[in-house]
Order: sequence, then C-alpha cells, then structure tokens
Amino acid sequence: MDEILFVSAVLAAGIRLATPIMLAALGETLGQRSGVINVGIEGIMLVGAFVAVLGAVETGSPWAGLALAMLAGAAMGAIHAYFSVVLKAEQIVAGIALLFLGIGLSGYGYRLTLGASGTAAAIPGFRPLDVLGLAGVPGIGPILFGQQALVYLTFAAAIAMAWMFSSTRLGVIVKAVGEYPAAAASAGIGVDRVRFACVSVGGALAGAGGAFLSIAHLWGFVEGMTAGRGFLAIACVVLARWSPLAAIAVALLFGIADALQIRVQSMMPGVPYQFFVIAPYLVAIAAVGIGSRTAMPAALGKPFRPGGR
Amino acid sequence: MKTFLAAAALAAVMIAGTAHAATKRIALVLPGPITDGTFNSAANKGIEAAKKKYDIDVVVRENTDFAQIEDVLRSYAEDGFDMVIGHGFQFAEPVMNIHADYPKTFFVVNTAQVAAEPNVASFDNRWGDAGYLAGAVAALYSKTGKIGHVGAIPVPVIEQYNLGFERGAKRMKPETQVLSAYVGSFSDIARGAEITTSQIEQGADVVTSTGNENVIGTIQAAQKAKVLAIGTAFDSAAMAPETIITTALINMDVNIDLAVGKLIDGTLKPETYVLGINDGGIGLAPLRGFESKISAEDKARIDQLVKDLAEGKITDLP
Repeated sequence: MDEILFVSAVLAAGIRLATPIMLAALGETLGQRSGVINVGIEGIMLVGAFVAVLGAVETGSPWAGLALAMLAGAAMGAIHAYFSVVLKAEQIVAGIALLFLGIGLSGYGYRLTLGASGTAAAIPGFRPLDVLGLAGVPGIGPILFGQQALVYLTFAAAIAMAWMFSSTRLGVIVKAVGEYPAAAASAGIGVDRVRFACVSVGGALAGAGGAFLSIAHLWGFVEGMTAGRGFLAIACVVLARWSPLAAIAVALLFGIADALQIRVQSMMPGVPYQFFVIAPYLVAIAAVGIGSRTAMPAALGKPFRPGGR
Repeated sequence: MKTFLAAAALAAVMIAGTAHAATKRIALVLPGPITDGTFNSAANKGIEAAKKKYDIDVVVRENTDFAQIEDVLRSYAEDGFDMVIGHGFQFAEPVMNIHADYPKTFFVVNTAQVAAEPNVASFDNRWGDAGYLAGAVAALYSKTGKIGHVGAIPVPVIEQYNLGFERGAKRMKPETQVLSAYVGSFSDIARGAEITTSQIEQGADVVTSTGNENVIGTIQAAQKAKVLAIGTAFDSAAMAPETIITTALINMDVNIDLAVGKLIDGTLKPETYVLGINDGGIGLAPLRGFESKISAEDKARIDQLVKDLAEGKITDLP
C-alpha cells in the first residue's frame, strides 16, 4: 500500500511540475510548426507569471489573472512576431532580446506594483479541484481527480492542437506555412499573417504556463521564478519532433523524474545531491528517441520573402 | 612662530575639514534582486539603515552573475569607492584575485570567511547556531518526530545550518528524524514547494528552509498542508501567522551596519568577523501565538537553550 501511495504522490507531483513546461512547449510547437523559433519563451513565461499575480490581486479572481496573463503573453508573442515575421529579423537574436525584455518587464513591473513592500502580498490563487468528489481516493484520486483546473485544460489544449494538425484545414495551412511557404503563398495563403497569429497564440500559451507557476502551483511572484522552464520547453519541442502530444509526454516524463529525484534525495542523504538534481535532465535527453516521426519544419527559422531570397 | 602656529592651525582645520566632508562612498553588490524577501532584501535593508545612520553615499547593484563579479568589483574600485561589499560567499574568490590592485578600497565579503592584508575583511553569521535553535524548536513542536530542512544549494553556510538543525533537534529529542534535501536553485520556488510537500508526505510536520526565494515555496507548501514551519533570516511570521512558529534570525543587516561603522571610525581590520547571538548576528524571533502550544517545561528548555548559547555552554555546535 505504501508503494502505491508513493507512486501516486510522485505522479501527482510530476504533473504539477510538468504543467508549466507543457503549456510553454505547446505554444512553442505551434510557433515552430509555422516556421518561427522563439527562444524568448522564458521571458514570456515570466511576464505571464507577474501579470497573473497582479491581475488576480487587482480583480480578486484567479481566472481574470489567467486571462490577463494570456493576453500579456500574446502581446509578447506579437512583439517577437513583429520583429521576426514582419521585419524578417534574425529569429534567435529577436528571441534573446525578448527573453531579456521579459526578465526586465516582470521584475520592474513587480517592484512598481506589488513588490514595493519586499514581502509577498496575499494572492487569490487557484485551488486544486476535487472532480466528482474523487480526489481523496487513495492511489489514482490525487493523480486523476485532484489536479488544478489548468492541468485538465492543458491536456485538452494538447489534444485539440494534435487534432488541428491532423484533421483540419487550419492545421494544413499552418504546416504548409512552416514547410513550404512559397507554395502556401501561391495558394493564396498570407504566410506572414499565419505566422504572426501562431507566434501570438503560442505566446498566450507560454503566458498561461507562467500563470500556472504564480497563481496555481504557488501563490506569488518572485523574479526569475521560471528557473529555466522556458528553455526546457524548447528542448521538449525538439525532442518530441514537433508533435504536441509527444511534447506533453516529454514534459511529463521530465516532471515525473523531477518529482522522483526530490523524494529519493531525502531518502538517501549519503549520495551527493547533484546526482539527483541532474537526473530529470538526463531523462529528458534519453527521451530523444521517443515521439512521432514528424521531421523538423523545413522553413523553420527562415523568414518568408515573396519572390525568392 | 606666529606664522607657524597659524599654518599649523590652518592645516589642522583643513585635515579636520576634509575628514568631515569626505562622505564615504560605498557600493553594495548583490547576487540577486532586492525583492527576494530574504538574503538580498536583508542586505538592502542593512544598507538603507546605514544610510540614515552614517554620512555615506551608497550604490546598490543587483542581480550580479558570478561571471560578472570581478569586472563589477574592479569598476567600483577604479571609480574610487571607499568600500565595496560583496554579498555572498561567491564574492570571496574574485575579491582575493583583485584586491591587491586597489589598496585605497576596502573590500568586504559578507557571509564568507576570508581576509587578506591590507584591505579584505569578511563578515559571517553563525548559521550553524541559527540552525541549531531552529532544530531544537522544531523537535519540540513535532508530534510525528520527523522534521525537514529544504536548502537551496549546499553552500557552506547552508550546510552549517543543516548540521546545526539536526544537532539541535537531537539535543531536545534524540529520537527525532531529520529529513534534508536541496533544491539546486535559489529562485525555483515551485521545486522548493514540491520538495517540502514530499517531506510532509514522508511524515515531517515541522519544516524549515534556507536560501533565497525558495524559502517562500517551503512556507506555502507547509501552509497548504497545514503543518508548521520555522522561518529563516527575517522574522517572517507575518507571511503565514498560522504556520510559522518562529524564525531562526540571521541578521545580515547587522553585518553591513558593523562593516560601515568600522570603516567610518577607522577600526575596520583585514580579518574575519563571525557574528553570533551575542553580537546580534543571529537570534530567535518570539514564539508569539505558538507559546501556548507547548508545555511550560518545553518553553523553559527553549529559553535555557538560548541562554546556554549566549554563554557558550553548548559543545556540539557545527
């Protein structure tokens, strides 16, 4: 029985740890499928985390906080799209600029608003759900029925995105724009417009990932609280070969490995802690082979210039 | 003779005048943001208080990466600052590398133990003693006999605290089981919270944490699980009055006040100053509402422990 409870606790914690990475990875998948790399996703998550806290405190509602975080994320995505799609700037450079913009905006914004006192304000955050009253069931309860609402929405978003890519006209358009933009353009598709939209929506998802950290998993914002999760999300996208469901799986694997190392660390005080801390990263790298066979979008990172180079 | 006296008087006035007018310029270099609520906030509060107390000009630099430290220190020294304070043990090595080039600047490393002629001093707090107090209190409040410590990264001061935490707990109740784990980051509050949750799942009912922002994660996890916590560094009871029994105070602002004061009155020496309970470097915050939650006998044991610590009667401090 103890083993079941242990596994249940590890899986439940793994999902909590993975959710922000899953959301950011979904956003990045959408952008990259349309042909735009955004390495500044960490900055978007930080802005999302800050805006979510500010919005929740100001309105008293975590849902309003989440909505505002997604809007702010979309705005950050649009900034990246403006530089990399409209102005055709080097995408990696624009992304790095976006990262620093996000670090600065979130930190400075926090100081101007809630951070003046130097201690955390009371934040009306999300509470875990109790779906059908089954969260207390030992074993599967905490995993399947006791998660945050955002966790269920994340899985729904992943399924919706996978369905969009496999079975809808919209999915075909996004893929065409990312694979062979010249052909898409000759078929009458506004390549830049599609890319702009994908990067913006991707930003909104990354903003939601930040919001999960600051108003669901924990209640509060601290500078740099995403702690590299945005970069892990990019790694997940590549390891998952640009498939939304595989990206979720890789992020989940990472989260579960992290939850496991946390517990094993406390149990084995004799082993150097660094060994445990790197374990999730090793697992993520080992997951390279997993995932669908989808190859990298052919036009990834290349701005579209009608009429040739 | 008259001219000599007049000249001497003039000289004396000039010396006194310059000594008086020479506002000392001090740079405080921080590894993180001043809004972290613990380590960096404490230093900022210390220098803010010193600004009011002494005639000084202050520059505070935040978020300094390890790779930037040497350049940052050099730039302040070249700019003619009288004192540059590096807040964190990671400043020790860069300071030792460059201090000889700038004999007119005094370098102070906070929470480290290094010193060098003629211009490197360090101020450290007895973190192990603070951990010892925290462990003792935690053991007395625990009903399960299991307590937990979540450290950010095992830097020397956090390791000392960890060791003290275990020894203090065992002094009060030898059968106490101490769980300990590290986050691997100072700012990852989500992982800090998850580690705390895992310790609570393993039966810990009093937890504590050391580091920077990660401490917030531990307090929140304890709050959600309705177990008790002991704060570190700041008296943080206001953060979660139902959760935080007390705080093992590590008064890093006292270090800064002392460093500035000694610079101004000229008594700062190139040596290591280690501040314990008698210097105000560490302490134990009041128990407030939690005083009535333990027996009078246990309360007396805590008071006696604090007294013994002040009188140097404890032999197994880290």
